Amino acid sequence: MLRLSRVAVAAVLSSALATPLLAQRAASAATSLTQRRLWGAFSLGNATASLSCSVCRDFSDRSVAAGLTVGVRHTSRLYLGLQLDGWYRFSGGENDRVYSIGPMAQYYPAKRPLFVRLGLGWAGYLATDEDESLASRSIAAQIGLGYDFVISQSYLLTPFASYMRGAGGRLTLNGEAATMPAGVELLQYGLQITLR
Amino acid sequence: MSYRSLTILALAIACGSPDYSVAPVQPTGGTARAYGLWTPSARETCTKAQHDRYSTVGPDGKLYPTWHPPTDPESGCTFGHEHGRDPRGSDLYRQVGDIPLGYANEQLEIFDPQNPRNEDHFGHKFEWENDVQMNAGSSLANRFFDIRCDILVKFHQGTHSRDAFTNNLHELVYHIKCNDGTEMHTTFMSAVGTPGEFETSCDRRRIRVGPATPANSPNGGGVRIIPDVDCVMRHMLVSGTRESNFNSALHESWETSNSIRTENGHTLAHFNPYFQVDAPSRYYDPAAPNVTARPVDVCYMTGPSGERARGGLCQQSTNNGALTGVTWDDPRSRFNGVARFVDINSNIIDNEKGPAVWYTDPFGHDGRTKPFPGSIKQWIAPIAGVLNPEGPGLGHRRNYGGLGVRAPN
Repeated sequence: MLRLSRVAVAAVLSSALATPLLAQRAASAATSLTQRRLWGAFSLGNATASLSCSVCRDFSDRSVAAGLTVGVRHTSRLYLGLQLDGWYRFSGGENDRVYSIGPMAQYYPAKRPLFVRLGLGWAGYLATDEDESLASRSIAAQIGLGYDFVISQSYLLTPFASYMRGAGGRLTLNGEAATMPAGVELLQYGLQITLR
Repeated sequence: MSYRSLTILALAIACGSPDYSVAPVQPTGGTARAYGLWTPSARETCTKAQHDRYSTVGPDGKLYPTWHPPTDPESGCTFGHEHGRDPRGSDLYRQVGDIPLGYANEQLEIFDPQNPRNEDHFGHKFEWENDVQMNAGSSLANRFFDIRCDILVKFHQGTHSRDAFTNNLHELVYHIKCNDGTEMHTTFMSAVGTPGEFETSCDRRRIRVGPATPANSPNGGGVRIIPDVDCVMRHMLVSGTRESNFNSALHESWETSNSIRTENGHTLAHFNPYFQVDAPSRYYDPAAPNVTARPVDVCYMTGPSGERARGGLCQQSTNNGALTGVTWDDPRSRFNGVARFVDINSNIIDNEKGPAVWYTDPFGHDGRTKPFPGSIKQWIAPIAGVLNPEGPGLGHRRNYGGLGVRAPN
């Protein structure tokens, strides 16, 4: 009984001492979370997209593009996020789509308001008509520039431009793999609304 | 000239042709059956020696004839016949070198000595084009892809005799290299349509003429479409002031369908060029000697109701009627087979696992990875093509006539 009592006393003392420590950690975590700040952005604009490969024609199509980003503020100058972009064109029975998804980093060299964006992810091109489909998927890298305009305490309006290029990806025609690799290019500009 | 091909072969290797190339061959000192077939007539001014120096060493070490111009550039003498476009202008020439004429025929004689197929010298015709824009097979594919190919073909297409009325085996050398990876270098006896018969050009009736040579000629895909007397009379002899329609009367099309296959029957490659001739020097007439009639003779005919051949080739051949008695083998006859073109059509490769080098029988079949007696080396890119480029017609605006060129050609 004495042994049990000692164990019991030790347990009570441990929990008594631990509770304030845990509380402190929780408070710190909450504070840290608040300071990190989740952020999100939605963009809308215009983009020219093209498919590049050894036998691809040298042309691009222009149409509407949109994007969605969610992330965290790592430091006051560095924002990290996951970015999803899409581009769509419809013309005379032909549907062309470009998509990309991947992590990105947004860096402010002089704290505000100009930033550089870099990303690396996965991009694809899908073209279909009534009878056939052409698809390409590859790793893609992105670089962009933007300039924040503060419109309220939580919202920023940002004109931006970005360029994405994929390469070495799989190209299929009606599901069958072609012999040459391919990649998608997307040159985009538009306006982004950021919530922080 | 006789060993010029060796230099070219060595250059091809030295320049680093990455994949397909023709290996240098030690000449054996022997000559192929196709060598030395031509002898000048009274109309030609070149000697046999001047003609026979246009030769090359084949893969078997024997001497073969090869392409030459209609007139010898050194002496200016005339050979009386032509072989189409000078292959040295083809971008594929660096890899391929001089093409030995009659090599597949020679291998057939080794493969099946009891059933040879010997073709004349005149009928070997070259055509080529560099950087040909191809059709990628669909509107979607064509929107995205710009497929370009270098193409060099040599086909034996004799249009001066009755040979093609019955015989469907004709040597075909087919080289193609495209920027999408489609590439093949093949030589074989193409079986064009059914042996012993052909189809008439106007109404596609099948005409059974007689046994083919060799008697065991295999049935091929495709068809030989050749003008017959009904078609010629219908479109050449016209009434009133109408002009003859020589194209409808005489246009000839040999539509090939070729497969390179392995010994287990797998098709490595399939291609189907159509070889067209606008003004052959003969047509089929069962009432004519040797069932062979001559279009130029129709220029002098009068139909039952006074119909005559007017305009075009008859006008040119007879100098507006001023020349009488122009015969089929007269250089003044425009019915001489020099106006030709080839529709390249589709090119399909299914050889993903490779290898690129196959040894087939002289018909392009029974492909194995090691040579055997009478086999011919074929090269097929180790890919499974998806775009399967389709080619346009080549040679429409070219006329290979020259000084002294005449039928037989």
